[in-house]
Parts: sequence; structure tokens; C-alpha cells
Amino acid sequence: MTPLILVIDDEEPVRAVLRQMLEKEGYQVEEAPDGAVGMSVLQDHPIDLLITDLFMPEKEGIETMREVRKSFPQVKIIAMSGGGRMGKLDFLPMAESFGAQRTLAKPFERKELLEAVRAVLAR
Amino acid sequence: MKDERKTKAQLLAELQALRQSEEQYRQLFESANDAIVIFTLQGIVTSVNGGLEVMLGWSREELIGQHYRKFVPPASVVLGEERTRRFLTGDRLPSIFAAEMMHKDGSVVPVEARTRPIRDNEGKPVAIQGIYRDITARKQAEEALRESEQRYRGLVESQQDLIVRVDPQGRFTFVNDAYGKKFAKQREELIGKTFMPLVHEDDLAATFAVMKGLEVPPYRVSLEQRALTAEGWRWLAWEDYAIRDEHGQTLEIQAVGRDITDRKQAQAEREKLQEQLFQARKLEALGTLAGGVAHDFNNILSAIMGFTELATDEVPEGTLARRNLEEVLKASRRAKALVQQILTFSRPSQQKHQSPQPQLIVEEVLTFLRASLPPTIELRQHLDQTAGPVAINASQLQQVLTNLCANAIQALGERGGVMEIRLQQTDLDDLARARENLNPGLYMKLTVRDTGCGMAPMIQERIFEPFFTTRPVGEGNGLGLAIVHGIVTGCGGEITVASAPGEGTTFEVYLPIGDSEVAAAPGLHPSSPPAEAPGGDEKGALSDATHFSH
Repeated sequence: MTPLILVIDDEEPVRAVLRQMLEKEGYQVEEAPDGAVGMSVLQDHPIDLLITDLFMPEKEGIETMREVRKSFPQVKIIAMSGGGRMGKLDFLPMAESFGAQRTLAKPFERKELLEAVRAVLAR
Repeated sequence: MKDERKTKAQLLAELQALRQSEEQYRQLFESANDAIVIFTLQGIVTSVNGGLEVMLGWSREELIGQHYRKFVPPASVVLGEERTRRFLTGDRLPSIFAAEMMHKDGSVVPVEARTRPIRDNEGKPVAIQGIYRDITARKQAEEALRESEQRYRGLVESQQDLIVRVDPQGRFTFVNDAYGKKFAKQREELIGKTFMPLVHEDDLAATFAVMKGLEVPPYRVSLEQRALTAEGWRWLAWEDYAIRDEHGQTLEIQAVGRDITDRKQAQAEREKLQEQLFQARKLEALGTLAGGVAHDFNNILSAIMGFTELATDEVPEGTLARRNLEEVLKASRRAKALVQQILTFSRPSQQKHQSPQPQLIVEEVLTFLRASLPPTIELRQHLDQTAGPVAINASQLQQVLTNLCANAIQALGERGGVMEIRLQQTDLDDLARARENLNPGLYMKLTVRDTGCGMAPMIQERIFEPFFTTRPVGEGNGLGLAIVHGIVTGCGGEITVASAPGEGTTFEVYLPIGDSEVAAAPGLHPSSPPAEAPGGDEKGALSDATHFSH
């Protein structure tokens, strides 16, 4: 069964790039522009892996992650971030504590992405 | 015979003339304001005028026939007798001298005295005439002036300020001690001469320009200059004032100067600090800007790099297009590095192993957390605003707090409850220090408490073990608390846990406060497990708290 990956990011180009990269690698991809839509996608599809941005307008990434952990505990999570944004601290390290198996710092190269996906799905 | 005898008429005329003369004399004698006394060579008073009666309060009847010591104090008596003696020996004496007399009421009356001998036909002194003028008022005025001058002089001389007066040609007419000392010159070297201390060449033009101000109202100028004094170059502030006569001509220029070198230095330092602060603020603003831009910038870079990578798949190797795409990727990587650099560059505190204001970091993390907590969890915080600087860097502190909070949230689970964070400065007492294996000093204590399910002693013992977790498989990696432990001990601190099933859990983190260049672990390495085996607790700790020494 080809793994189904949900990509949540408010930036359309970022979603497009990820979709292409993942599909080329053989994965199936669903997209959502924010956490709210993401949750409904999760309801309707058997998502194996969630790749989500940490900072998004409607539902902050961390909150989404928490909800996913609660409602869909089998879904693995990779968190991404562009850094900055909130104060001086980088919140990527926090994501791990909230259930992300891996984190990716944007802009990441294709091989970084694919390696992370492979590793997380393998667990 | 006829020549010897004057006629009766002649005699009468002579007598008449004599009487007139005497009368005139008497009138003069009486009406004179000054006191007039005539006394014998032995000092016995033969005649006294009304002026004396008024001046000294005696009536003439009381004085005539008395020695003048009755109304003259001893010192002046001596003076008088000396003068009489010298009159007799024919010495020439100044006619005016100062003396004192005594009022009937005992008070002393200072007088200006004029005494002269009265001579007979042969020129021999037969009596002394003295005219005395009361100079009390004058003496009082003189005294007042002298006192005033003394006070002024005292003020001027005791001044640290430099006070000088020069004439229009620049010659000194007055110099105070302070000025002399300042330029290591004696007063004598300066009075009547011109002397210009060496003024810094940068201040010369200003000095001359400002002096022109003395020629126009209000005839006052202020200036600051650097001058070479006995102690080297000093900043002096001068207040100059032109003293003018009634025709508007400048008589003298008075200058009062003060050494303001210290003030100038303090000012320079303050300006330097302000500049530094300004630079720091600029850097901070840059950091904030960079931070704000970085997110979007990195998103854009993601698109650029990502699509370029995908495009290279379609273009055969060796073609120009392929090479060009590689260039795009190279450039993108450089852009990525640049953004990273800007972010790190504008966050200097990240590079030090120190957080000067840990409460700000804690606040930031808690603010972020608060937004993502479920409503069943109440977050309480008590942050001591004075804690710090703490020997841990910002991102490590963030990691520690985050992991402890994540643990607490997990412990609170579905039912929720209270998560309480405390930050305080504490000076551990000896017993506490011994228990915790810490050096003396101030510590920052971070407390994370939850009212969750609590832990059995068996679990508490292993809680900091890497990969030890009570969570179901797939949830959590068992590294969170191990990471915390590694960071805390790496910074020279300690972490303790106190818990009981059903009663919640309290973690206490102690981190040293101070400028210690503590060998903080640059990264977090969960590969440093507790050195002692669980249960090897030799310190007789309380049953509900365990700790691991590193």
C-alpha cells in the first residue's frame, strides 16, 4: 500500500513543491492550506504521515499536531518551519516534544525531505 | 618815661581788642562740634568745651581740675604722656593721631586727636590743647568693610574655582590661590603680567570668538576649553564678566573657572553607552526584521529550490540548461545560508552560554504554550523578575522548559488539571546544597508542577533515563526528560523530581546564576546517562524525592 501523506502549509508553492517531490518518489499526497481543513482530510482519508508547517494563520501547527495526536494517534508527523516569526526563539525543537517524529527546517533540499519521510514511515 | 607808659586810652583799646579776641575764641571754642580740652603739662584739665561734654557725657564741672585719665583709657593716657614729653623735648610730631576716650557710661569712644602745645611768649610749652573728633561711625564703617573684605577673600581663596581679574590689556590684577595652584604659578609671577595658559588648538578659535561677547551687553560670556594645567590637559569652563566704568569702558575682566574634566568624561562615557545602546537596538530591530522576513523568505526559497530541483530531473545532464539549473540551486543555497547568518548574527544571546533574563524566555515559551493548551488545563505562572543571568543559553532553557511542560501536559491527560510554573532566585542552604551536590552560590530555580497522575517510586527512579518512557509505543521517544537532565547537569545545575501516584509531580531545576564560564554542553547529548544506578542514593534523601548525581 503506497503511503498517503498529508501536507499542510498555507503557502501554495510550498505545497506544490512537496506534492511533486513526494509523488515522484511514489507516495500519494493530499493537501490542506490550514489545520482546520487538514483535520477534515484526516477524517476522510487514511493518512499515514502528516507533514505540517508550524505557523499558520487558522490553526497554529502545534495545536494541529496535538489534535492529530489525540484523534489520530497512528498518524506520524513531520513538522516544518521557516524559522523566525515568533520572538527570537525557534520553535522547531518544541515540535519534537509535542509529538513530531522529525523536524525539517525550510528551505530543505529534496533529499533531506525524502530521507525524513523514509525514516519516519519506517518506524 | 613816656614810651613806657601807655595812655589810658591805649590800654583801654588794647584791653577791648583782647576781650574781643577772647570772645571770638570762646565762641569758637564753645561752638565747635569737636571736643576741645586744654590741660596742663601735668595733665590736669583746665578747660573743656561743650563738644566734649556732648561726646563723653561729662559736665565740665566734673572734669575741670581732674587729670585727664578720668576720661581717657590707660593706653591713650600713655600715648598722651609720651606726646607731652616729646613736645617738651622739642620733637616734631605728627599733629594727628588715633586715640580713645571714655564716655561717662564707660563705653569707649574712638577719636581722631590733634594736640598741640600752647606756648608762652618765649615759646615754651605751658599747656596742651587737644581737639578730638569722634570717629566711631567711621571706625564702624571701616570695620564692616574689613570684615566684608575678609569674608570675600576667604570665599575667594577657599574656592576650588579659579578666580582671576585682568585689565583690558590682559594683565592680571587679581589671582586666587586655586588659579595659582592650577597652573603652578605663584601670585607674584602673575600679577601685573599677562599669562595665557596653553589652550588646545581646537578650542582656540572658539575662545577668541567668544571673548568678543564681552564687548556687547550683557557683557558676560561662557566658554569651555581644554587647557594645559599643572595636572596635564583639563577641560575648564569659564564665566567671564566685563567690569565697566560709568562711561562704558572696560575696567577689568573677571573670570571664574571650574575644572569640568570629570563631567566631560562622564558625558563622553554616557554618549558612548548611548551609542552602544543605539547599536544594540539597531541590531535588535534588525533581528526582529530578519525574524519576520525569514519565515516568508524561507518559504519562497523552498519554492525556488524545490521547483528547481524538480526541473533538473527533466533536463539531461551535460546540457547548458542543466548546468544553469545547478547554478540556480547553488545560489539558493547561498541565500539560505545568508538568511541563517542574519538570524544568528542578530541574536547574539544565542551564542553565549548565558541568559541574562531567563524570565523573558520562560514567558515567551509559556505564551506560546498557553495558546495551544486545551481548556482542561490551567496554566499558572509565577515568575520572579529579578532572576538571572543564568548559566544556560536561551535555546537550551527553552528546550528544558518545553520538555518539562510536555511531560506535565501528558501527565494531566484527558482529565486536565493545573500546570504551574515558577521561576525564582534562591540561595540554597547548606543542607539543600549537600543533597543536590551543588556549589555554593545563587541559583535560579525553575519549578514545573502538575496535578496529574503522579509517578510511582519505581518510575521516578528511571524517569531521566534515555528511551525510558511510560507512553505507549509510538508515542514519544523517551528522550525528553533525558535531554533535560543532560542540559541541566551540563550547565552545572541539578534537577529533582517529587511525585506520588494520584498526587501529581513536581520537577525542580536548579541552574547557577552568575557570570560563570561554566562548561555548558554546546548541544544536547542524551548520551550522558546518570552515572549512578537507580537506588544508589546514599544521601538519605526523603522518600518522595530522588535525584541522580551526574
